[in-house]
Amino acid sequence: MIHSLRFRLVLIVGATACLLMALVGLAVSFIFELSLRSEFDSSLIERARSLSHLVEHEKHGITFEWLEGVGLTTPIVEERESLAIWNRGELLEVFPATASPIQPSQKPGENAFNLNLNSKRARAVAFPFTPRLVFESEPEAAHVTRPVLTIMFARTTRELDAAITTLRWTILIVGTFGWGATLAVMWFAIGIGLRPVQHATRQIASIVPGTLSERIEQVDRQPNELRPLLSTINDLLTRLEQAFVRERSFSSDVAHELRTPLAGLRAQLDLSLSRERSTQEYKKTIGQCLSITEQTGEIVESLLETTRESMAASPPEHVDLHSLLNVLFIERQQNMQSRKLQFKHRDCKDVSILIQQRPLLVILRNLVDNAVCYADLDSTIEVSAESSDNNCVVVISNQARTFLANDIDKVFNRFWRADSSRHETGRHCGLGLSLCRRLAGQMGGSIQASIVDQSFRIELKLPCQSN
Amino acid sequence: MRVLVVEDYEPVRSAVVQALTEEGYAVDSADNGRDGLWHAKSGEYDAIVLDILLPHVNGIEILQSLRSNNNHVPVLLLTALDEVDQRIRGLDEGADDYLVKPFAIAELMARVRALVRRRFGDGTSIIEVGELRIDTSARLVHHKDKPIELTAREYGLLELLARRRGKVVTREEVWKSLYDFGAESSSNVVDVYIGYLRKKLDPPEGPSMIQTRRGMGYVLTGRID
Repeated sequence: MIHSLRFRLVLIVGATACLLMALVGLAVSFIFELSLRSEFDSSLIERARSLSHLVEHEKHGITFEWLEGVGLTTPIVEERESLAIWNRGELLEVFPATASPIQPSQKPGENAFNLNLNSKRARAVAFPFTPRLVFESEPEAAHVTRPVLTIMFARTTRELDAAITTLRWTILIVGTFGWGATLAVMWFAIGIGLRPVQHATRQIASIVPGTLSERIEQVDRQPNELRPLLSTINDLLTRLEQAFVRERSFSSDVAHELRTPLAGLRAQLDLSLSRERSTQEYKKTIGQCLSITEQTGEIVESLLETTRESMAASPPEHVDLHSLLNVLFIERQQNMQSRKLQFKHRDCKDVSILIQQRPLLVILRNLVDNAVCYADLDSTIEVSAESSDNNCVVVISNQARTFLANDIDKVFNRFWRADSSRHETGRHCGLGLSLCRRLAGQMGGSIQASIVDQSFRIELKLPCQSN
Repeated sequence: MRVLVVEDYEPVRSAVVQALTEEGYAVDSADNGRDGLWHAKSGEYDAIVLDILLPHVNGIEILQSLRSNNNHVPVLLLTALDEVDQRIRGLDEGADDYLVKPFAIAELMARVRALVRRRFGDGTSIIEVGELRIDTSARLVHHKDKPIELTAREYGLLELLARRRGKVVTREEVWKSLYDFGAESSSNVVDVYIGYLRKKLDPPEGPSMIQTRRGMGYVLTGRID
């Protein structure tokens, strides 16, 4: 589950949504709580102020309106409230009478403050005020010293706390359900968003070795985020297909090349066992079979060696064409001597280039092998190499009087051989020039064969950097 | 019976040539397409065993050349190319049979026999001429239910005469069925082999199954006149 992209996306989005919703919930809760408390405090102050208006300064002293008339029957404060009026440390009035009066020393001013009221949390206000003068004549009132009293009014916050708790629970429950709903919606929304991925996955899954030519269709119509990935997969498929074709071609070549010697072995053995033979005949058959197996081994080795080297990617290296060709001919000195062949460079100057050495070596080795194997006996193989700024050209020509001009178009065909018997060609299986053309093409170059004055001429042209 | 083998790989070619020779066929061979085409066009063969990937001229080109010249000699393609479309192409170009390497010599011989049989319009491998019974698959000859021992050449000659029973087989055809392309012609050899066959087939006294048509050739008949 954790490896599911959809699950991961939902998890990330869910976690983010949870965090955001928690922050919003906290903010809402805080704002509402602040507002409720502010409201509570305002009502507290308002109530204290209105109570203070009921305190009068009369001729015979301070009186409280709530002790007269209706006030005698109706409680001036509720159960959850408490009131105390002080005059410089002297408690003038307290409600309810049983309550311990609120001390005037507690934070007088316009702001509410917390306190414990009969062991309950409460908010209170305390502020000084001057009672209203109630004198019969104004001159009398003018000579009275007006006392500054302090009114202390408190109210328990039980209801406020209950409201805040309800608010918090409401936010929590609504937030949780909202978060769950968000997760569910996100699960489906991400599922819809991931459909192109699932579609592409199905397309990719349907591509098997037999259908490697297929590609992911309509990449341009896919979402922007997917396009680079799908294009890369298509490119990868192209490279994979090319590799498969090369592998298939190689397997086919090997199978073909092994079939013929196997046919030779089987035919010889079948024939030998078809009737009683003399010891001499059996010896001849065994010798022939041994020779076939040796030849087969060489062919397999040659094919593997060629393919391994040609397929291995290699960075450009500095190569001196002149020296390389010399080495290749020296390596074949024994064959050249047995066929009385000479080789000479037409131009003896150094040709140093920067090029992929491995495929170049495979090509040149095949061309030199070809020349040494098929040149007329007692003749000369001519080699020339030159380079310009962007190209190098190698020409190898050998005398081939018996070569038919009509065959020149076939020399690059797979399994085409110039000679009439495989025995003469040894390990040559008719794939060398075909491989050379393929490699030259892969390197961005070309290779051409021609007959000039009864000489077989191969011209190899490859892009390179002059050193 | 005369067969041409065109195959560039010497071990296969020599084994096939020897196997066919031991079966009583006169065999010519070529190791490249150019020589093979020349042989196929110039000689009269009862069957051709032809490789496809050959130097100079490939087997398919040889086949096309033969068929375009109305040469309907039975051709068996013997090749390492095993893919279905390659087989289809070979058969569509006019090959009568297709055998992929590696192969069993016995199977190749059976297929060549089948080609030769079809060439002469015989449906089965048994040829009966009067009281003479020839099993071409087992290469056994019986006369009045008695087995007759024949050498490969004698058998080849008898099979040729039996396949053309009732018809004249010229001395040249007899010669060609006995010897391959390189052998020097000698009229005595034909008489010698006909003589050998007569000795083995005919009763000690009385007329021969193989009648001589003077100036023309020989005819194998079931009747002993």
